[in-house]
Amino acid sequence: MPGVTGTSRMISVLVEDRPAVLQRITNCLGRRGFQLQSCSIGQAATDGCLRVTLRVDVGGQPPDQVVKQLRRLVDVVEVIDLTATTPVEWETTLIKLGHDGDPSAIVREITTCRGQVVDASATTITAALSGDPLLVDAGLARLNSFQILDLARSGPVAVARHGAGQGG
Amino acid sequence: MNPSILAATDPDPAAARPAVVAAPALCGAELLLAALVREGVDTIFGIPGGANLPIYQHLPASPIRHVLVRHEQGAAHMADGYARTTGRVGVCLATSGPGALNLITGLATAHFDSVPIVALTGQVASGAIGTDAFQESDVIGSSLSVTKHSYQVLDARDLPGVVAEAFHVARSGRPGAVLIDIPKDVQQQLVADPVPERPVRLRLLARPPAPDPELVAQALAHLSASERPVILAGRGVAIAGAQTALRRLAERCQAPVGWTLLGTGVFPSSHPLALGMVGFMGTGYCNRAVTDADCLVMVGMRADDRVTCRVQDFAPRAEHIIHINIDPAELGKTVMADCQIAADARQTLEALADGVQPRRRVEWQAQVDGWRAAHPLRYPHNGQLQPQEVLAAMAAHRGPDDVTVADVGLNQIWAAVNWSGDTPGHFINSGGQGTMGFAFPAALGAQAADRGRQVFCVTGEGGFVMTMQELATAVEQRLPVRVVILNNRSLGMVRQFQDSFYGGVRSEVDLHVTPDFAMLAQAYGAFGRRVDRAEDLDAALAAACAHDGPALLDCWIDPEANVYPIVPLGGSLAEFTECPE
Repeated sequence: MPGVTGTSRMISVLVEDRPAVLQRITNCLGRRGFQLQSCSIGQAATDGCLRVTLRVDVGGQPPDQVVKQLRRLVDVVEVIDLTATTPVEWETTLIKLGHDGDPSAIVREITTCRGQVVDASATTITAALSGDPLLVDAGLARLNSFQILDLARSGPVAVARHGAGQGG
Repeated sequence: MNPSILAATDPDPAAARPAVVAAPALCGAELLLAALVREGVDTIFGIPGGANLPIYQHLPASPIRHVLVRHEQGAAHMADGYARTTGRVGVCLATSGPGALNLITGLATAHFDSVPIVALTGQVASGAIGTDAFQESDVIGSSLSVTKHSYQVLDARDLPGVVAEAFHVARSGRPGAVLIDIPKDVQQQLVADPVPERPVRLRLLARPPAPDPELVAQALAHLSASERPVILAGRGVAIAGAQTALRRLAERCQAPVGWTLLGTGVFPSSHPLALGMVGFMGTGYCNRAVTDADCLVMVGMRADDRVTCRVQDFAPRAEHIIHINIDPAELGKTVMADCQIAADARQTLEALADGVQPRRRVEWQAQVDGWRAAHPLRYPHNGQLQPQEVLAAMAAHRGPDDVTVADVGLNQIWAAVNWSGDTPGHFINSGGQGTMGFAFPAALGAQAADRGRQVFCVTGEGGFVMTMQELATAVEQRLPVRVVILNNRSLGMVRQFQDSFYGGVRSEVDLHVTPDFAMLAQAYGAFGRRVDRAEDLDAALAAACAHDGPALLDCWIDPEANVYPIVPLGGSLAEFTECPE
């Protein structure tokens, strides 16, 4: 996925669903010079909590600092660095492509990439690509030869492989 | 909240408190004040404005004493000084908009130094939030980086629980600043039903973490094998109440003890093992000992750049560094200790003191004594009044329970390295932020907390003018703080930096116009006197200390007086420059 570097970490954060909680997380990262590369937030397995999945470039700082700093936040229940665990990652991307009236080549390519057509007009096709971020990267590379009108990537969500869970 | 994420913790009395039954039709402001009383608050430092008037309407009926400040920054520093000298949570109160934003510097100052304060801010009515209403400010967003946590209360029923939790967050673990923002309509909201005091989130109630026994065993092995151990101690030792354990450990393994600027007082300054302050402007013998140590213990401190100087060369001969801090984020952040103990300083030092092999290290002690003799604190004798002479005269009027509050700059370092005592909380200053203007309001806060002891405020004329409007507060509240201005007619530390590190170009450091501080003090109704000669110091101090109310001595010191030793910018601890003979 774009911007991923050797110093990127995949961080999973369980937070209480309280006011300004995302603001607290992004402020904590920004103030210490960590680059936020992607962020997704949504329901968690624990009532009253949200799961935040972050991809963060820690640059030259000790990699464990990002986990330690996030753990200092009062609303944070748990922080796990998934990077070393090769977690299950999943991402969704919507891509809108333009055509001159014949979408067949685009549709063929979307099918090859295991994408789904989710919207169409006389001159556009919108496809959804979902899966491991590397597969999404590969699909986008194949569609790159078409006229890209719009693109929205959700950023990955992730859970640890195997085992019962990651604390919520 | 799903109970599965609530860690099993000790039954805290706060959590077990019975529901509070409010009398019918109490308003939010009354619920707030009652909750503050339950937390033991006896003093609030604040100033009223449009969005906190409901609180002020009910304040006179509360047992809490209010200290009316002249600027919100003063209120925050007063709460800070109150907290640093008592160990209790300090409380300040401001209105919305500029009032709330004026607290930010004070919040940062307290939070950086792990001081528990709770700031209460009024906010525009909840329906007007986000409309850019008159005197609206996003104080939650603005204060995120300078608080441990913050709350905006949108239902008065939540106030008792939020206050209980805010005080717990402020004082537990690594203490810090907490802010509670309360819209005006919530302060006025009538609550007729019984209001349960929401329990503090149990997850937050963990006991101070005990050290991992394996890490303690490792640390003990390193200490026992060491020929040249050194201990450095910070304010965390004071917060944990670990100074007795520190002394016991040092004496049992005969390890010399240095301290950080904020750690002043955690180890007796007159102890044979005392090394004084470490770091950029620390004593030469402490910096020398740290540089030669083969085993370094750092406890209750962060190891910032003012401590380590060039971090690559910090403790270069140390085979082992043992770093103890209750905040895991401080471990491995700047100095890579091989033994990192994220735990309560007191429990850890007690375990180390119990387990360490008593051992005399005659050669090491002799070596350290040699450095102590070779690198004494010196100052020039050129006929002009020297800051060290002022501080020595002040010390003669200072009792064992008295408090010294230093400002920031040369005055701060002179006051710190020349301070003698053995009690944490008796010497306070703004270490992390280095907030000029801190000392005077912080001294007022310390004095408001305990009127039975003398509080000395050591400051420069540059810092004093930044918060001197609180002279009115001092006189009004009859807070007999003794202000000692070390007046060098310049921003002295900046001047020294320009002379030493910036090509000798003196740029915008001379304060050509400052008021006659003695007359200024008198104009406010305080005692004021100017002192130019060393021989006049004692009488002036005696008069100031005898005055029933605030007193100020404007001491015109040698304008060229510098701090020594000092490590050149970018240099290592061992490269300190000493006062020219």
